[in-house]
Amino acid sequence: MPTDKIIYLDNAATSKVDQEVLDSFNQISLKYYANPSSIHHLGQEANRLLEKSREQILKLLSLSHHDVIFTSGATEANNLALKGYAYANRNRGNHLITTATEHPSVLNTLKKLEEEGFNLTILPVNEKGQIEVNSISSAIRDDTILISVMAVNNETGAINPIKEIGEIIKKYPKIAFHVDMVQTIGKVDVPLENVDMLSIAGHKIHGLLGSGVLIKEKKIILKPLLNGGGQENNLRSGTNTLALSASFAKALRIAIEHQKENYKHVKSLADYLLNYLKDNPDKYVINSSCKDNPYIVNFSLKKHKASVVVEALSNRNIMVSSLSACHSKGEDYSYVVYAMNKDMCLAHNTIRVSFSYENTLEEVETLTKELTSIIKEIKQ
Amino acid sequence: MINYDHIMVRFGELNTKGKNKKEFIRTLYLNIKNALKDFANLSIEMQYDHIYIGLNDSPYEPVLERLQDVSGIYALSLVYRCEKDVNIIKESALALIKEEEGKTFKVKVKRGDKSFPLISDEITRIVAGHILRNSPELKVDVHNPDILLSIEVRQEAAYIFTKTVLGAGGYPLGVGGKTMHMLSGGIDSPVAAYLMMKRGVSIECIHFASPPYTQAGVIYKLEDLLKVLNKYQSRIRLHIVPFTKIQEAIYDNAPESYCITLMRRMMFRLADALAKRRNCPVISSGESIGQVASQTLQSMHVINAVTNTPVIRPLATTDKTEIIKISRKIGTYDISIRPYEDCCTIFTPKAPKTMPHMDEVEEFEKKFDYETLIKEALNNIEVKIITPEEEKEELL
Repeated sequence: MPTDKIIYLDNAATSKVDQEVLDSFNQISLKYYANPSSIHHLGQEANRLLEKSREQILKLLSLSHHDVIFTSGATEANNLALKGYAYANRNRGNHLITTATEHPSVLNTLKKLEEEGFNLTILPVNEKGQIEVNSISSAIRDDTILISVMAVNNETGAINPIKEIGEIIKKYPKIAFHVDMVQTIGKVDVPLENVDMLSIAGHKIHGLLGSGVLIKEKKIILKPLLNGGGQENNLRSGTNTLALSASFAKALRIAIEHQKENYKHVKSLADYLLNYLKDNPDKYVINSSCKDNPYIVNFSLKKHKASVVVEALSNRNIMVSSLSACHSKGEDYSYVVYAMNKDMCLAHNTIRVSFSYENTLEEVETLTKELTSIIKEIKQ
Repeated sequence: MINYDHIMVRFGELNTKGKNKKEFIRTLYLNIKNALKDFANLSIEMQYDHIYIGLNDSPYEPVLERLQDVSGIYALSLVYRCEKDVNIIKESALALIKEEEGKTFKVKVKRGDKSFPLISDEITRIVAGHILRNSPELKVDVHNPDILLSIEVRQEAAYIFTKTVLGAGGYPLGVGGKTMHMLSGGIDSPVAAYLMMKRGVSIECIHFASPPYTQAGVIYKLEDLLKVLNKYQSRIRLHIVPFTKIQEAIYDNAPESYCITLMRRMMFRLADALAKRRNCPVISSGESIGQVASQTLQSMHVINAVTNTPVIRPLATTDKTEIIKISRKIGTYDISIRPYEDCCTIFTPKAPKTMPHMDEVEEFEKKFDYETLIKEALNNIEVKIITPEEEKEELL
């Protein structure tokens, strides 16, 4: 039986904007509408709010020797970090390293650089979907200049050993370490000590679509992708969308301030779902094996087609993903799950349930009930 | 494993202060209390020649970091407090030294409590012997030890420590009185302010604004600079003096090359009047000999002649590179270099006088009624109180 209310369990794709964040966006749009680069006092007030937003972001992340560059989201932040660094530091080396399970905005950007003449090493992950620390050390060459590893995988929720990788990279002053933290910030704790650049998107933490940041160590030199008026310390020209930037800072504050309690709540939801999946080993294989990240539960259907089940759930007002929304239109299997267990059939039939603090236990109960009834009804 | 439970605060030059020492320590105690008010679990004890911060299981790093900004502290040691029993002392010392990295050590004992039955030498031998017997990898080196294990036996307890960091030095803020500090927003004046505060002098700041020639953004810049200096003084009064009319009158009545000299003389007159009004016995500034035309010795002579109040220039003999180094250290540099004009950089003459003549200056000043303008400016000062408390920004 379809429920009336939408049950939204696709928060890793994008999350619903927080009312408070939206209120800030509206108020700022109406009150601080001047260009932050203008020298009149309205412009200066806008600029002040912009700078305060930057400060707040760094403070929330306990970073001090860093710059915040506001971008349109994580795809742009990743592009700026990777292309910007590779182009600006080509004289130091030509080799880039990443992992097989990165988000397309990292993987495809690096592949583009490979077409342009850079050498790219894509490292495999283990059966848990994590990169092994020693595979990083053995991939490093004399001409390596950049390593990009995501902190939390967007399909499986697997957490990579960022701290340990950072400690290795720190020994090579020539190499910059970029981390895609889109599924991490406000959700799970990943130490940032040895990270040189990190990307965050607003819309995954109940902020607004179109907002995001690249944070980089001050000493890191980038070549801008957008040229123009020299905004954002000459790294991202274009009039700063103050309302988006400031509301991003607010979304980040809310997410980090409530991280602990949200984690606890979401863990109870994930545990319920995982127990259900474990109780039905004939139907499901659990792909997300990371017990430290309850936000994403990824599983494969043993006998059924994922797209059919996702469609059936959708008809019952329950929103989950079959593939990461970022590439569902292209390939028809999960390269992330395939990279983990090398089973094409399972990779074809993955379902990702991604939670938010707004979800309730009743919603997850409904999901499991509906799953059971759908699996019973549809053809194998 | 055994944890350090106190921070021992040692006073520096206070020990030379004779009868005033008590007052100095009292001030330092209050400054420390104020600096640590955001830490919930700490206890602060005042003893005759140390102050002890009880950590009560809070992490020591942020406390230590905060205390390093408090002037009047010579050194800070992370200490373990234990009972005055030689057996307990030697066991604790052993446990603490095992946490340290190094191959050689030295034990240094100070016996403040003369009623303690063992003398320093005996305690040293007992503790060092115990360590040698129980950690075979450690050897004694009395000249260049990797680990210096200090033990102080005092009236109330024994203290054991291996880690000591230097404090900010100087005197406790406030014991040196108050200065009227001239703050432009450039690199030098915040550094000079810091040096004054480090010497125990609290500051009030005077700034000259010439709207519309100077921009509103400058005031934000000053607020941000003073917020950084709030680390050393938690409440700073900023006086913003409207300077436009005076500046325009100067340009109407004196040749361009003399304008800076006259301007600086007016600024000192204003600072002097405000210093008197605010009970500051001195004026201070970030001037450095020869850095710009108004800072040659001849210029200083002509400019300074308008006041009898002592003008302290902590940076007088400091090189620019050194000033920049300090400003980076205290965190004002990045704010100082924000591009805004101040009174001294607008209408910069092509060839300012580096050797102004007193008689000429006085001649130009006779041409307009600057006293009325000064009075008017003094009556229209805008005051801002800068504190570390962030105004809560609802929008963020």
